[in-house]
Amino acid sequence: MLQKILGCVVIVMCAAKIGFDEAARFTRRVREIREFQTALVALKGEIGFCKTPLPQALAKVGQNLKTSIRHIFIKAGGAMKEGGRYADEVWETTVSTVKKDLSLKSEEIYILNTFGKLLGTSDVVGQIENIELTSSKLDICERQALDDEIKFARLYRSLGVIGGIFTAILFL
Amino acid sequence: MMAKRIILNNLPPEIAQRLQDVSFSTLEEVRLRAGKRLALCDGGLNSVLPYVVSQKEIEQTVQIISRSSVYAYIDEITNCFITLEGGHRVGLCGRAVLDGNKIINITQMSGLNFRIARQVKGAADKIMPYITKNSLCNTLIVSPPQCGKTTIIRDVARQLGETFKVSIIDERGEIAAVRGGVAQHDVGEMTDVLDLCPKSIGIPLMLRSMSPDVIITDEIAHTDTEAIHKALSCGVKIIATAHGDSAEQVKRRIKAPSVMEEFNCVITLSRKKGVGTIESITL
Repeated sequence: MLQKILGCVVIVMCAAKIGFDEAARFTRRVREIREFQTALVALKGEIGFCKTPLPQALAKVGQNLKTSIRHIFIKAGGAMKEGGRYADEVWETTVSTVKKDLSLKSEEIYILNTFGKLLGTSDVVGQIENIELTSSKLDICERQALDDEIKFARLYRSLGVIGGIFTAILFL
Repeated sequence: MMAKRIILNNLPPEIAQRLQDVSFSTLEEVRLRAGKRLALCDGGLNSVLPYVVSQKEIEQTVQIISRSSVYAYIDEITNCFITLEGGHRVGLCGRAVLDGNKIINITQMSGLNFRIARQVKGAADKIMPYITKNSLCNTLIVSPPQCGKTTIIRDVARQLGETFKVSIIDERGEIAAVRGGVAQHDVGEMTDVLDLCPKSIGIPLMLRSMSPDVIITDEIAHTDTEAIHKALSCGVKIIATAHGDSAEQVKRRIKAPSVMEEFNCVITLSRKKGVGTIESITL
């Protein structure tokens, strides 16, 4: 009997963990979008006010970030510093490498890639417009991500726990 | 870093590979022209390498030089050059985009000229006794282009910068060749550089901010006379260069006799016995 009870506890805990992990992805997605927007504001300052070249600007912005978004900036900055490749190519490669560590959806990844297409190719005004356009697109994504978090985060947590209890009852 | 390494690091791999065996000891220029062979200028002699440069490679080179950041170099691009580490410069040629009479960008790059810079320490040794005679003289160095004015004035800055507070207004980025905030040429221990700033704006700024003993600047024109006059009236010495065959020609062009009279040391250069030949020194 003790073994059965222990087994049930393990099942419930595992199922709850899966539910909580899934719920955390919704929270992380909101955080990542917000952090990318913060990074864009910092990049706007580096480009608009200091005219810092992209490799240094991206690396500098990346150092102040905390989520996995920082890897995009730091890796892209490092690759651009080495030279020999176009900025958009470096950015797209970096995003595709890092995206497995991100909780962003495909539409947000698409926005990130579109942002990279115009990176470094125009004057300051053009760069600022690109940043602002990306930021406004991400505003919409942030609202959607917040709605999803409210709707689904609690749902996944509850589903995990309830699913675990239900499976445990079936085993008993 | 050696000139060769810097130049090769700023070229696409295919072109850099072609230059691996080329000696850079006396090389003056490496030229890339779209659809033409890679050209070199060594000791005044032109030669070509058996490699045709494509327009795409020229665009790629600009990307490498500007570190994919056109916006960061747009001021230099509109002046048709980008400065590299070591003070080497890349001349740009392409299609000028105009806004009124002002160039706002150069697109469809068709040619690049890597000009290898060599600082000549001691280039000003012959004229230094005249400049430093009776403390410091307001000095004007006059010559046609390619006679070594900038090389000499750079060395004047280096030598004066050991004892005086020197401010350089480097409107075309040629004297100090600043890149990433660091002067690529040795312009002296106590020298401050205001990079890519018009002289008419930069001279009053440096007067207020850096309290210099001497201001050094290149290629003065009639638009700079008011700023120079202001500096002179504050007791700051001016050492400048100007394009021209003689001091009289410069006087006629600048149209400010009162400013010209303040230059109590006028040095004229030519290329008669090589770059930097001193034609006359008027005290």
